[in-house]
Amino acid sequence: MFEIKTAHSKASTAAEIWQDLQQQLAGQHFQFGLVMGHHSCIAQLADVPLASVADQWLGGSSCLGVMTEQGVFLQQDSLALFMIRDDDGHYGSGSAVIEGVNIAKATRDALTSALQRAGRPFQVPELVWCMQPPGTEEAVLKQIEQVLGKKVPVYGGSSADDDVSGQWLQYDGRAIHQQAVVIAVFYPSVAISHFFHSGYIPTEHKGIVTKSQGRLLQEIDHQPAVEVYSRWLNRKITSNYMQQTTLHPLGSVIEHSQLDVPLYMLSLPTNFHPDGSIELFAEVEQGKQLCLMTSEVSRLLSRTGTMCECTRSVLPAQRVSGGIIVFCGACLLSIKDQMGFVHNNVKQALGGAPFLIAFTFGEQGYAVDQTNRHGNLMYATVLFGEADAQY
Amino acid sequence: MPSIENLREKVLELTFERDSALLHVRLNQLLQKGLDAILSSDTLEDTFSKFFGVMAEGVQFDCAVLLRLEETHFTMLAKQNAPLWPDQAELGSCTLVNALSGRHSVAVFNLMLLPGWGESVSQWWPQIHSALFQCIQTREQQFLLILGSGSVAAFGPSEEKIMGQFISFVASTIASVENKKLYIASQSLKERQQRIEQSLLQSEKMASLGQLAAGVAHELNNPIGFLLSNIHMFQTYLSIFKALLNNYRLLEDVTQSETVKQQAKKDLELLYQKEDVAFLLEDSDILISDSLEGAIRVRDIVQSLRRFSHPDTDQIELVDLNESIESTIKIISGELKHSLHLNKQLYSGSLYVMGKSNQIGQVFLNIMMNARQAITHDHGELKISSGLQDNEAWVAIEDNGTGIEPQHINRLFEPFFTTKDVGKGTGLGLSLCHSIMLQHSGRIEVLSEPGLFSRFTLYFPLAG
Repeated sequence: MFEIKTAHSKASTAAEIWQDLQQQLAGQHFQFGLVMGHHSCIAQLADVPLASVADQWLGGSSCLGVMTEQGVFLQQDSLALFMIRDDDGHYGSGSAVIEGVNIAKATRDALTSALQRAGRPFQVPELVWCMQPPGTEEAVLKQIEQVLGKKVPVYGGSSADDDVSGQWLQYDGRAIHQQAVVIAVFYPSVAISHFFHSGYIPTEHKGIVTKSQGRLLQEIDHQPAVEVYSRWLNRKITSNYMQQTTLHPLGSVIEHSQLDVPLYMLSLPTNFHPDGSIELFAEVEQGKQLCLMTSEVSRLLSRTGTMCECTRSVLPAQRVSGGIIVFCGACLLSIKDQMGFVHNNVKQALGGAPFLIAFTFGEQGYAVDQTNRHGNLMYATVLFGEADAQY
Repeated sequence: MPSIENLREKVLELTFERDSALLHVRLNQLLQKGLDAILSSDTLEDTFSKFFGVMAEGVQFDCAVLLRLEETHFTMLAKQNAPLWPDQAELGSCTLVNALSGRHSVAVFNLMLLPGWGESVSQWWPQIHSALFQCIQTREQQFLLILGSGSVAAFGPSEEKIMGQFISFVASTIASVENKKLYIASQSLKERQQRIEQSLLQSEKMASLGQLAAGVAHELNNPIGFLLSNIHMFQTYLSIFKALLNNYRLLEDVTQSETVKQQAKKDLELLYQKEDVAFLLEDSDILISDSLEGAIRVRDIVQSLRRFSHPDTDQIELVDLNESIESTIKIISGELKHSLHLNKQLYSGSLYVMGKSNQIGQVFLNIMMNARQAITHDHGELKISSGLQDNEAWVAIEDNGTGIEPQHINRLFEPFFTTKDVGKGTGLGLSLCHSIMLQHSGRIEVLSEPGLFSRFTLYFPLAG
């Protein structure tokens, strides 16, 4: 039997949250639970006995709140559960605190633990889900790839707060962390489909990264990055708030022989330094072409729905049991008053199936070039079907 | 937004859908080639070894083995780049159950982590890190295909999907071939069974005839006896008639002397005084008529016996149940008429059913013989009736004999079940009746009260 259920709570105490969730889950037991919510709610989970309703958990904080098929909960006071009951599937989650800067070790430990807990320490999962603090994503993806190879899709989102003040949290079903990697592995008994893309389009402004260091973009075409970026925007950058840059991220061009059109992985400028460098939310590689990207509010609002339709189209008989959608927190902050529109689109696209939308600071997914990538301002959609051809 | 950008987005979406469709294209190509491999192979082993080449076009791998799985060991069927693998080893399906966990296809990213099999496979394939385990279950056998790769985690969900669906197709195709073979084998068995049944039927018929022989002999003996007697008598009459005719001829002959004519007249008077010629003429008619009747009786019995003892053919024809009953009664009449009263209440019209007349006659004969044998007292009655009910014709044969014990009713149609003394019954009679009725889409109902009666009612679907 395969079933997906969501539950939510807007309560303020752990006891009330537990009461709300219990009521909605009606005593059912699940194999896996995803919990996402405002960091103030996630902080309460230490006193909520979630382990009694599901064997494996992954969770973390989401910018402002969450959305499920039951409504839009973005008042900084909500959390929601996405529960999977799958009698014939296998699920496991593991976590490890990042000690110092050793992201690689934490990732390996979390992944090994997740595989063990799924009872499949040798088998390539159908899907990997990761949750980590912002800034660690590339290293996390790299480690997962080293262990499981490049063919398993890795999806996830970095834990978020409301204003990039570092209040993000991760949850593994047992404890709450501020600086941990939490990984879940999925071996579902039903088919899944997934799609990772953005709602942005390239402009004519392009340049080559001539100097960079990780997420620090120093020069474009041998000129200070801030100078070039300001010129492309045709205005002077006056503040460091990402709302100002949300509609104008930088896109790193991905070259792939199988693609008929260029694919862009987005980096969101977050800090502009006096030395002319720009701090980004994703790494850029020296020698790569960068492009100024743009979007419109209407496009950001409609994109999630069309992506869900697209993802659904490749499921057997297009039947959906439920879906997890990761939506960029920065995009949310730009269009939060109109999220009801996004909610309706997704609800319609999934035909009323349960879903959870989380808002993260950095999204991971299996891009169209069949590579696991980390990007900003991206949308990641994972849908669970109702049947699997393998069984 | 410029329309070119909308188109770009659409192209990306289509690229995503195309990738999914390409998976199906790859799969379809594999299926096509797999089908060719199956159709061009004579044995399962040959089929699988051809698959290595076919699979390489759908999934990249460095080496492969195909094993036949038993519970505790495997046997190598085909291999590619696997020189260290043994032909047999103590690794079987029981140690693989947990690894597969209900799935048919499992991608293993690190062989050393696979419990049970991992260590051995790593020894036999020292350069191999990852593998795809694919279970193949046909109706009668279980196989395991292992594809190996020197790369870390070379196989992922899409390889699992492609191989899973490909092998599922292969297994179902092989199962179809196996089914076809089983069908052919079962047809052959069925034909054999039919031949045995036919032979049994014939044996049973002959056994029935054996039991009937005395009665039939008596029945034939009577008419033959009075036929002989009549003919003998008629021979005597004929000599008198000849003498009379001769004397009349002499009297009428003008060439004869008066003396001869006087003697003929004298002889005639003597003959008339000695013999009652009027009676002889009248009795001759009776003799001839009786002889004809006796000859007809003999002919009918012989015809019935011939019809009954003739080997069955597959010919299905219209059979009138009443006619078949009458024919059976003729055969058995010698058994019946001196020991019991026959009460016939047959349907006034014809009762046509489709079937084999010999077999239907066999059913009637067996049940009538059983009825006769069940009557051990001197006021026996055999009641034979027939009729119509809904879309069925029925024939009931009832005797007032010993009846059947309730515990025997359910076993009556079992082969070799008999309550008769050893040597007196084969135990196949009613079993064959049951089988014949089933072949005629009919049925037999039995009602009995020990010490009072037994009634066998046979139901046949009406023809047309």
